Amino acid sequence: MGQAVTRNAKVKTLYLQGLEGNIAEVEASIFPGLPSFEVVGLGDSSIREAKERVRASIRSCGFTFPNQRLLVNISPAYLHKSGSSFDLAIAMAILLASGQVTTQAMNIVIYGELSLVGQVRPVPGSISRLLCLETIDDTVLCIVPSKDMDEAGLLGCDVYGVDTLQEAISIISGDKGEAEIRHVVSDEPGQLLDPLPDPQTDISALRGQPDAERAIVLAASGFHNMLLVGSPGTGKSLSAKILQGILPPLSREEKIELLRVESALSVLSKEDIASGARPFRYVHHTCTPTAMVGGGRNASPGEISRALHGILFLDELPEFTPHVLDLLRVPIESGEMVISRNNCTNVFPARFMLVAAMNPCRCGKCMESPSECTCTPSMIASYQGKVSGALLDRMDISCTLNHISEESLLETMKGDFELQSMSWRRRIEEIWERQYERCDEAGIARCRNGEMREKNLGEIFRLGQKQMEYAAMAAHQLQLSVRGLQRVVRLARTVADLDEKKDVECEHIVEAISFRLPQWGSNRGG
Amino acid sequence: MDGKLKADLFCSLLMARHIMTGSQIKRIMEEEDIPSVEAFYEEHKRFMDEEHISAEQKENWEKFTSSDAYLRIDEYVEYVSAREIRSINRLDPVYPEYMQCLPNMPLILYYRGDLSLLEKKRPRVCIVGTRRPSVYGRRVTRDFSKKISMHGVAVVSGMARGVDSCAHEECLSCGGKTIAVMPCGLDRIYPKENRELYERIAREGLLLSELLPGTEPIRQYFPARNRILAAISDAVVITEAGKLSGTLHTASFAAAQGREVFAVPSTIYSETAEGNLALLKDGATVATEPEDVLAFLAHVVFFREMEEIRDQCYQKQLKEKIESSPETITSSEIRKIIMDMLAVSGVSTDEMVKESGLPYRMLVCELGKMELEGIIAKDGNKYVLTIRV
Repeated sequence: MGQAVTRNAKVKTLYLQGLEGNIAEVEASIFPGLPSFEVVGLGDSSIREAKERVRASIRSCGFTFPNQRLLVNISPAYLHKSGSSFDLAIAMAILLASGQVTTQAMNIVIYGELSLVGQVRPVPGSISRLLCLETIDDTVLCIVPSKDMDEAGLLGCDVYGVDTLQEAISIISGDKGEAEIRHVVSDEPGQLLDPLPDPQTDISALRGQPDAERAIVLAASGFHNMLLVGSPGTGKSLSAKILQGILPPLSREEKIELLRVESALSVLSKEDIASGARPFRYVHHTCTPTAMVGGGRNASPGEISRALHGILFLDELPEFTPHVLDLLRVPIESGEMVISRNNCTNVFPARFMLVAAMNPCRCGKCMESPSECTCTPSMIASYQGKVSGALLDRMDISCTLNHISEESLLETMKGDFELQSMSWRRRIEEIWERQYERCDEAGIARCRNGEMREKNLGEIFRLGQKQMEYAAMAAHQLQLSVRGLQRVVRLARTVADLDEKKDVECEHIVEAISFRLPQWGSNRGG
Repeated sequence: MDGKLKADLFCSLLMARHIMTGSQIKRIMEEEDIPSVEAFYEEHKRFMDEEHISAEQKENWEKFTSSDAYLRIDEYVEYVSAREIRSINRLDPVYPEYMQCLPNMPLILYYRGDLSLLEKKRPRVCIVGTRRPSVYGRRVTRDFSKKISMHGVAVVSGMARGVDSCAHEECLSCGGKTIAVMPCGLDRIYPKENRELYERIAREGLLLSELLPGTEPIRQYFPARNRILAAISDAVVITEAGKLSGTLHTASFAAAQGREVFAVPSTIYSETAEGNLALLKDGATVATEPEDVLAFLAHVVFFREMEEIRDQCYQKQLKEKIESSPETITSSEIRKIIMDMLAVSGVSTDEMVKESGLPYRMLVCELGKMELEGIIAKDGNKYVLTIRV
């Protein structure tokens, strides 16, 4: 101590860029000179502020902060970095460099935010970081905030969870004795997701609306985008909720993909991580483009990514800004959203089921009771025209909801009916499995019927020559576009799947056609 | 020896020789409870007395019994059947129902060719006009005959010179089916220059006449022939007709028999088309293109089908069937139910399921098919009929 020698130490840390976890090296160097503390390596203000948190934490743990010239470098130095997760790594590098802590470990990976009294706080993006950890080949000693143990459990990573800087030090120095250290070992299989609770609203609530019931089952069976049209109070939002209820739980892979998005935005609770429920994003129509598809200065994912493998529900579709709706077109086709910023390109996953609801006109009565409708024809046309044809073209199922008769209304009030959502959920899981198998046979990426974007639909979906001709004839008759025809074929495949038929038959095509876009009298064509 | 043909020929002879009228024969058969024309022939001598026929007719009968026609009737039957001429009478089930219900329809019809062209379900359009059409008239006739026959509709005409022959020829050259109603016996060809056309229609279409084989064409038969032309057609199209043309007879028969009359307009200065203009003035339907006629036929055919279905099944039976065994319901029965429900106003699928009790899938499939066929359309959340009476 006190000698004029330079002392170095380095640890690895994991940081978040968009949704990607990346590895950075934190080097600390202590050398003679006037006391100072510099952090270099393109860090933003949250990293510059880390200096004070680190200084306070080290002192509060009973160590000395080196009273010499201290330089911390975060490499790769050419990339912009941000976030408070570097705190713990910086502190550890300083302690190692100053010789106050010694270790046998070769590779130390450590991240977490520090409080002034040396507590370790969780940071967003845990899943992406841990996924990145899996790409490191060497054996590493990984220390994470104890909160991230849940995620590590799901992924099956070998990590130590800590609550304080002190605990981290005791793990690194090999003195694990007293503190009760939580440790996940990678050999353990990833923990299972909690079973889904029963849906709040059962599909049997749609008695008296068989059309809607069928549409919902079809939408769920093929993961098709759906448009619900109906007067106020006909059960559009209810239908969307029911649809969520009959969707099978997330698979482990889907859950991890979803958690990457969610954890990048905030710190997740234990329940969030273990729940197998598919997301249901109810987006308000004042939603901005950035909030919808993602973006911003630091490019964060939007609603479409948060609805990953679940439902993006847009109520009052025509009230959305046309610009926002048109932004949805590309992600619907490609299943991802690419956002470029000056220093990087972020790819956000965006495979979701778009469920949109709308009134047929502003007052909502033009379909059910035209005589009571107070809208002028031009108002109706402009209301319906707010939704671009291009977006409507991507709706596989369109369902009009009707007011139910008094009798059926009474029946729905009784509540003595059999609950069916659960059995549907199991059935749909089987149907999806069959769709995946078909993708495997065709040698394409696994997807459900509604997400299929291949060109040779007829071949993959097993339509005979006769059925193809029939579908083409129908498309011609009803003046459907090419995309409209594909929509019909995709849905027909789902109808056939529900029927447990290997090949698509004409009657399946006929039923699929009945769910095409509504024709509002003379206001809008095919 | 064809007993039926013989009996039919005999009855025709009775009528031709003014021994009995068609209605007398019919009345006798009804009163005496005679099941067929053959049976009538067996017992015909029994009815040749004062009780059944007048004195004058009796005299004719006696003259007839001594004539060659009566004594050598077998030879005559041979002659007729050798020319591939067949007969149907009103007691035959194949005798068209739509003719049964009209007054003054022949008791016996002779034909050569494909009788199935007279089936109720097959649409037929009569195209007639002047014997001396203008270039315009020919062109109109060809256009209409071509378009109409290409849609599987049989073209009916009288094989006369001018428009009639033109209509037949054009129809045949498009591969269509044509029916010629002759004003003479089917062993005669009138006019003579149409020999080739005559043979071709005998092979590919249908030749019809109510007249005994051997009857020469006489002017007074023409209007009588025209009433059959109109009776077997769903619509009559007059492409070009002069002021005093016989075609106008056909038009007035058609109107009386409840067939739609279409007239193609032309310039008001044309003498050859004065008849058309007169018809239009009288309220005939204007046909400016063949599609006008086809559109009308679509209605006719559709309602004919509906009627058929209505005849076949009754609503009550259907209801029971739906409740007991929905899987046995045929698609035409579902159609009938749907048509009934849509008759008054548009109905949504949900309401239809509730009202009919039909399984959702069956109903939706049928609705889809009907929509593709253009019978119904979706208007907002409701299905509506596209064809209205």
